Amino acid sequence: MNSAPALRPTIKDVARAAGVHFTTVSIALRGNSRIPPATRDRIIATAMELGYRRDDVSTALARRRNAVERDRESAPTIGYVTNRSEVNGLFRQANQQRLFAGAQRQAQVLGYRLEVISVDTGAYSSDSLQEYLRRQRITGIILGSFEPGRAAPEFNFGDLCAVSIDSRHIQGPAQSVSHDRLRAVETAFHQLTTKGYRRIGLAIAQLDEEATDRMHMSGYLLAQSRVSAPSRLPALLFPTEAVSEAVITRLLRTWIREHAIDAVLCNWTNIRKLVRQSGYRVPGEVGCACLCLSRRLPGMAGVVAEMEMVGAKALSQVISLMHRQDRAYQLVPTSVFVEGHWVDGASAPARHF
Amino acid sequence: MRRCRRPTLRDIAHLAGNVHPSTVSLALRNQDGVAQATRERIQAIARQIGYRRDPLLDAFNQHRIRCCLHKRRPVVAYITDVRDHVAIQRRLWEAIQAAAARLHCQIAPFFIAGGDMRADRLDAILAARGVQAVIVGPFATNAPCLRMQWSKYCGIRIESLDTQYPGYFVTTDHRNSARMAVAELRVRGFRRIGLMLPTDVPRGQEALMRAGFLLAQHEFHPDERITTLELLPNRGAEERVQRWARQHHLDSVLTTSPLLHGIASAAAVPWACLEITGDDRKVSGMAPRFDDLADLAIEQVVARLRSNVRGDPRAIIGTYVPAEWRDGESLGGGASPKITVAEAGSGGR
Repeated sequence: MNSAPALRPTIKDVARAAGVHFTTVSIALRGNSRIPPATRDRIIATAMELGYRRDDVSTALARRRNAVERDRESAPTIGYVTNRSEVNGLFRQANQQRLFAGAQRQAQVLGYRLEVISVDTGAYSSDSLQEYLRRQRITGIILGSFEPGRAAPEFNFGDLCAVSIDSRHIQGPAQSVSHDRLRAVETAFHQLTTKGYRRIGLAIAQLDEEATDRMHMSGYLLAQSRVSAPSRLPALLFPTEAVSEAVITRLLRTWIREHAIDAVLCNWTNIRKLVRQSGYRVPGEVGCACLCLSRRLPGMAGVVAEMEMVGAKALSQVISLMHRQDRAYQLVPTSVFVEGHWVDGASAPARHF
Repeated sequence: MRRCRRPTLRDIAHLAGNVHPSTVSLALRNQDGVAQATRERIQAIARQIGYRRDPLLDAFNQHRIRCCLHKRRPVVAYITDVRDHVAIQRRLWEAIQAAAARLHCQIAPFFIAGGDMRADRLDAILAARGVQAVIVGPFATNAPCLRMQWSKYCGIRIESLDTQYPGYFVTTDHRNSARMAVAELRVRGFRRIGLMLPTDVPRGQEALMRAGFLLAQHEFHPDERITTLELLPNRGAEERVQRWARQHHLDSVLTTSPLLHGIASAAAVPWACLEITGDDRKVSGMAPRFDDLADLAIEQVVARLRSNVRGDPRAIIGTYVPAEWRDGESLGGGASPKITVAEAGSGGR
């Protein structure tokens, strides 16, 4: 990038170079037989030489203006591609719903329609998905928070204006939007320290770390570097295989006992229940804070994530990519993070020693 | 059955009374050719009748804005504290001027020396000059002049993590810089890598660098995890660095401030910089994409200005741009073979 948006050659430039009127160029380039073949070939050659390219946006506009059936109601569609679905239940999670709702509202504001395209096991191959997008004339997609360990088709990002939400474990587009998990851990750690907790531990699923570019761990190590060495405790990473609650509570129990943990940070909203099941009273023995609350809950301290804003931001970015697609624009990779905010709750009251 | 027609500019013009549709168009894009009161009245009517922009026309306009030169270029204020971060300041200012030229904007610079400016005074100056878009450059924490009435502006911070306002910002991804630099050093055979952060590195930036460095180290054998060292670049610092390097058997050092480059060199340890500001090819390390940052900042404020979205977001929204690795002389020819061979076995995860 970084070059001035050079003025592209227009049909008038082609006309000047070929020594004809510009309407002749227009007719010739559309292959109309009213122009003698020799002239037509000459004009086409000149156009190619000058690097003339038809302007897709203007063409689309002209086509619409000329259309007999002018339908202003039909809104172009953006795809919200995800491997979470109603069937596997993962799309119904509160935070997933909030992401989608935020994107959908923003689509409405900007005059677009948002369609969920579920690519869970068996639904699409990479080819058939590409074909579906092409047929539906969908050029803009959001990769909506892909769950690691499930189906993820390969995309040809050269043809698409794509922005991912999380989904960092798959070879994704250059631009992504996420809840700021580093800041969430940092904030929660700080809040709990202020409330008198001294042995704060992070419990996180290995898969979630992969999908979020290890932001939790970054925040945890950063927060730990600010406290004295005895308070720096190893995080508990739930291995990919640990799927049952029984295994998870057993891992929690061992970890809490071994490191005398007095507060647990976790991105799961049911962490309070899990700690209880592992045999500890909450908040009597162990405090709990959730790093990704979907809303303020009476019993739960933690960071409320701005998932609607994450979704809305992802959508806006897709649209702005679509707007500039014909500009030879080499994409700068960017990661956008939206900060959540801390809420106090009964799961982590102030402690006095 | 006739479908409900969606409201157009003409409908708004009609409802607003004695106004031409093109005035409505200007008002909705918040152009200052229309009186403030009229603009607000028209915007209110548009909200009331549920006017929505047409996506195809939007795309066309965006495209035209990029291709054609404008008669009226939006004015963007660039407010920054000139006392600190001199090298970064110079580089950023160049980048912003270049980006403004590319994107057809006018830049009104406000180089402020610390607390010399009050927020209400700044508000008044900007109002008098008709400025509605503001980019905030590097600033020391909580400069009072930044308590402006942000609800009136389209604002964004650039490379300025220590202030609260405005809520949008673009920054180099310093976490990624530290992580990537460690990876590059490891590829070159270095194993005992220290991070040296001067105390004058802005706090927010320091935190990200530290987070990235710690994360990268976390993946190594515990013996290869080195503590960070904070120090001021003053007399005696060279000796401290040397002692630190000896104590931890460092084979390389990552650092930031240009002032520290001298100290790192004096300590006779290969080193790389986490934030290269100049074109000095001698320095190895991470070079921020200042031009891209400036482009992003200007594009964002102008896009919001054109679609009339003012004020701060409900939550802080940051855009992080990764820096690029650059090879230079400061690393020498890589780690000495002795170290590479001796440590190779204990490397990796």
